[in-house]
Amino acid sequence: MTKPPAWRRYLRFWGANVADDVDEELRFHVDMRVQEYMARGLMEEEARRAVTARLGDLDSARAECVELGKVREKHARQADFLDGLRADVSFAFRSLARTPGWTAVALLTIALGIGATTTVFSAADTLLFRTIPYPHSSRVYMILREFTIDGHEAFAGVPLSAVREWREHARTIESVVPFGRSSGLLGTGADTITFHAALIDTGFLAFAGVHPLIGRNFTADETSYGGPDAVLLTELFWRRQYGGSRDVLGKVVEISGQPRTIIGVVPASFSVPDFQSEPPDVLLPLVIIPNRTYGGLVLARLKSGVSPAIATAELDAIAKRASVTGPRIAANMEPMPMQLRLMRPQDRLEIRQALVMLTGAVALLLLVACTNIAHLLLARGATRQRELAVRHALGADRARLLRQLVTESIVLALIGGALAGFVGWVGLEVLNAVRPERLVALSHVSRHNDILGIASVLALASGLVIGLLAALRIAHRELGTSLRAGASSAAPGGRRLRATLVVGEVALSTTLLVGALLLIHAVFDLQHTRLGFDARDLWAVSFPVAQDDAPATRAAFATLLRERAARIPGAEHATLAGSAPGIGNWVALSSFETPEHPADGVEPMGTSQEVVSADYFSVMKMPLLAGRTFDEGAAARHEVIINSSLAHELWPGGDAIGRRFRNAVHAPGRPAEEWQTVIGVVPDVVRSLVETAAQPATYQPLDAANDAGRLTLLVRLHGEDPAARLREFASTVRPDARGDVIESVREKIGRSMAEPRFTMRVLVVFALLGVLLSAIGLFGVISYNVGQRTREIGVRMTLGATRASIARLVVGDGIRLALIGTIVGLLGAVAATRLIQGLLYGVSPLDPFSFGLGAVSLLVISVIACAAPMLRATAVDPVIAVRAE
Amino acid sequence: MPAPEIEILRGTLDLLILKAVSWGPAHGYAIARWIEQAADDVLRIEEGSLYPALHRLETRGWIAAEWGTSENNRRAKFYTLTSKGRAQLHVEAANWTRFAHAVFAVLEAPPEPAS
Repeated sequence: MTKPPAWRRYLRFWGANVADDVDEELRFHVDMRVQEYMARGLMEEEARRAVTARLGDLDSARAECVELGKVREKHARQADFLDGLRADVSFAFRSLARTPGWTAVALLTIALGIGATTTVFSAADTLLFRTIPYPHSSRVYMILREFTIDGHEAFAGVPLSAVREWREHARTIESVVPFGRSSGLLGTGADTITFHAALIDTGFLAFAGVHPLIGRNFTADETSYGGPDAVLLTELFWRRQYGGSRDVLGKVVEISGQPRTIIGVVPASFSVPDFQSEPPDVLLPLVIIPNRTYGGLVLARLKSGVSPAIATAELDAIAKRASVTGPRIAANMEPMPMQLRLMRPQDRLEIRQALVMLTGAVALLLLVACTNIAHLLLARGATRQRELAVRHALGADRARLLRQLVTESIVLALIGGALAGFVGWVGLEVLNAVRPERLVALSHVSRHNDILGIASVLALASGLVIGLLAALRIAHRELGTSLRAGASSAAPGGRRLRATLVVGEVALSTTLLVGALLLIHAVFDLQHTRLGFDARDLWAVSFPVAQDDAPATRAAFATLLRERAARIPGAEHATLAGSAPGIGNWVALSSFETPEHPADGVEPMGTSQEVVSADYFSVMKMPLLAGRTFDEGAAARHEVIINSSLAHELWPGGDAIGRRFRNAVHAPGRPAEEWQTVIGVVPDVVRSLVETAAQPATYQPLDAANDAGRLTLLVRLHGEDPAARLREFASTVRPDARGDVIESVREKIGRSMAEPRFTMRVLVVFALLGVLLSAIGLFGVISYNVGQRTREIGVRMTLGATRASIARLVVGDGIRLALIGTIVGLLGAVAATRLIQGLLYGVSPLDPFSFGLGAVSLLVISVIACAAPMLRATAVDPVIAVRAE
Repeated sequence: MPAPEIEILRGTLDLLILKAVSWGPAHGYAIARWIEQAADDVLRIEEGSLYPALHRLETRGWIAAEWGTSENNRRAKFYTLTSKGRAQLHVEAANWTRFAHAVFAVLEAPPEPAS
C-alpha cells in the first residue's frame, strides 16, 4: 500500500514528464469545476469564465507542484538504485561464497598485487617527495648543469661566477646559495679522526632557517680567500666529541693540517641535501680561490608563484648574458655548454633511478595481478555460462546481467582492497625494518591512511575495468547457444583469450625475474669479483700518522709493521698503503695539467689519491695493464701509477706510460706540484655500487707521502676470529696507540652497498610475487582446460590413450603457453633492463646468466603449476567421464 | 451561493486532505468537493493551496498518488492515504480537536473579575 506499484518505475522509460503530469492534473480539476458549474445551470462559456475567475492565477501553485514532483522523482530514482544495488551485492556475496576456492585465490591475488603496489608507492612517496626541512621548502630547488655523456643524462655543479650574477640580477628567485661537501682528517697525532664537512657561505644558515646554537655564523671575511680560518661544529659532533661543552668556542683544531678556530655550533635540525654521503660533522667556509673556476652545488629559493620553468629561463638568460661558460673536465676538452636544470633537492639521482625501477617493477606486478584476476573472472564466467543463459531465458536482460557481473567483481575488488591495505601496511613495516639506516623512516601514521586510500582506489579501478571487460566478454557471447550446447564445448574464442592472458602474465613475470636476477648478479659480482681487486679475507689495520713524524720515523714504523705482520698467525700476504682500497679513499679536487695542456680554467675533478708500497698491486691482485710497479727511488723520481680512467681522461686513445702531468691545484703558500711521470696503469677500482662512473685515481709511492694521514696495513688473513688476532697485533706494534681502526675490507664495502642491496631485496620480493601470481594464473588456466576436457580425456582413454600420453597432453598445453610467454618476457627484458643499466655496475643488461636463469626458473615453475591439473586429468575414470553430462 | 465562505489555514488544509482521502482513493477535485460539502460549503478550498499541499503530502509520504480513470472516464491522479499518513491523521486530528476545545472554552468562559 505504501509503495507505488512496480510498473510505475517503467513509466519513466518512455519519458515521464513531471510538468506535464501537473498540467494534466490541474486541467482535470478545471474541467470538473466547469462541469459542476454547468450542472448548476451555467452555459459552458460562462461556466469556464466563472471557473477562471474563481481559480485566479494558478502559475505559482503549478510551479510549486512541479518542484515537489521533481524532488519525488529524484528520491524514487535513488531508492530504485539502492534497491537494485542491495540485491546485486547480496547476490554477489552468495555467488562468491558458493566457490570458496576460487574466491580465495582471487582475493589473494588482489591482496598481494595491490598490497605490494601500495607499499612501493608509499615508499616512493616518502623517499621521493620528502622535502628538506628548510623554510618554504616547496620553493627550494637545486640548480644543476645538465649534459649528456654517450647519450646518458648526467649532472654537474654550477660555476660560482654564475651564482654571483644570479644574486645580483635574477628576479625570479628570492635567494641563492652555493654549497659543497668534503671530508678530511681532524686533529693531530693519535687523536686524528675522519670527518665529513659541508662547505657553506655566510648566507647558507639563513637560507636553511637555522641560527647557531652557540657562537656565531661565518663572517664575510672568513668566507673569502686568505681570511681567518674558522669552523662551525654540528650539534651531534659537538656533543660526541666535546661533550657539549661551551668551552669549545675559540678553541683551535687542526683540520686537514690547517689550524682553525671553532666559532659556533649549529643545531641538530640543520641539514644539507644528502648526496649519498654521510651527514656533516663540521661546517667549513666555502672559500673561492680567485681566478679559478669552481663548480659547485647550488640551492635556490624561488619567489612565490614562480614556476621552475620560468626561473630556469631567467637564470639561463643571465648566465648567457654574463657569458659564463661551463668549465672543462679536462684541459683538452671544449667547455661544456650551460644547460640548467632545476631539481628538487630530494631527487637524488641514484635513489630516483632505483625507485623508478621499483615503480616499474611494481607496475609490472600490478599488471600480472590484474591479468590474473581478469582471467580468473573469465574462467568463472565460462563455467557460469549456463547459469547466465538460464537467467537470460527467464527474462533478465543483458544490461541487468552485465550490472550483476560488474557488481560481483567490484565486491571482490573491495574485499581484496581491504586485504591489500593490510598487506600494504605490513609491507611498509617490513620495508622499514630492512631499510638501510640512512634512508628516512618510512612510517608515518598518515601514510597508513594514504595506503588504504591508494589500495582502495587501485582495487576499485582495476575491479571495475577488469570486471566490465570480462562481463562484456561473457555477456556478449550467444547466451542462447550455450544453453543448448553441452557445457563441455567451451568457445574456442574464450580459450584463445585466456591463453593470451597467461602468455602475457608469464611474459611480465619473466621480465620482472630477469630484472631481479640482474640486480642480484650485479650486487653479488661487486662483492666478489668486480671490485677491481680481491677483497676476500682482506683486513685493514690503520694507524694515524702524525705530521711531525720525520720521514725516517715513518719508514721505521712501516718496516716494523711489515716485520710484525709476517708473524700474525694465518697471515698470507701483507702490504702497506695510506688507506684500504675501495670505499673511502682520500678524494681531492684536482685540476690536472699536462705539458701539452695547461690547466687554465680546468674544472677540478674528484680524484682518489693513494700512496702505496710496491707490492700493493700484487697483493690486491690488481694486474698492471701497462708499465711496471715502483722500485727503489720511485718517490724521488716523482713516479706515479694511474688508473685507466685517468689515463683515458688525460690521453684519450694514447699510451700513458712515460707521459707527465701534475695537479695544478695547490694550497696557498705552497710551491707548485712537481711533474709526475706515469710508469704504470692499473684497472679502475670500484668505490661504491651506486657510483656509475669510476673515479680517476693516482697511486704514489708510500714514501712520497709527507702529509698527516694514516698508514694502513693490508693483510690477507685466514682462520678463526681475524679481528682478535689483529687487535693483539696492533697492541704489540703500538702499545700506546689510539685511533687505530681494524676492519674487514669486505664488510666495509658491504656496508656501502646497503642501499643497492635494499633495492635488490625489494625487487626480488616483487619478482617472487610476480612468479607466484603467474603460477596461480597458469594453474588456473590448465585446471580449467582439464575440467573442460574431462570428457575428451575420457574418450581418449577409452580409445586406448595411456595415462602418460594424457599427462603429456595436459602439461604440453601449459608448457607451450609458458614457453611463448617466456620468450616474449625475455624480449621485454631486453628493452626494460636497458633502463636500469646504471644500477648494474658493469654487468651487461643482456647478461646471459640472468636471462638464462630467469627463463629456466619460469619454465620449471610452469611445469609445477601444471602438475596438479595433470594428476587430476590422469586420474579421470573414462567410464564416468564419458557418461557425465 | 452561500456567502461568506471562510478561508482555511494551511496547516488545517493538510488535516482536511488527510481526512478526505481516508475514505479511499480520490482525485484533487473530489477531495476539494468532499471538504466543501462536508463543511456545508462554509469552507472554501483555494486551488492555489490545495495542489501544492497534495504534492507536499505526497512528497512526505503521507499520501500516495497513482494515475487512474475518473468516474467520467478521464485520466486522473488519485491520492490514497498511506499508513504513515493515517498515523499522522490521528495525531493531527487529536491535536486539532484539543485546540478547538481550548478556543471554544475560552470563548464560552464567563466573565471573571481581574483580581
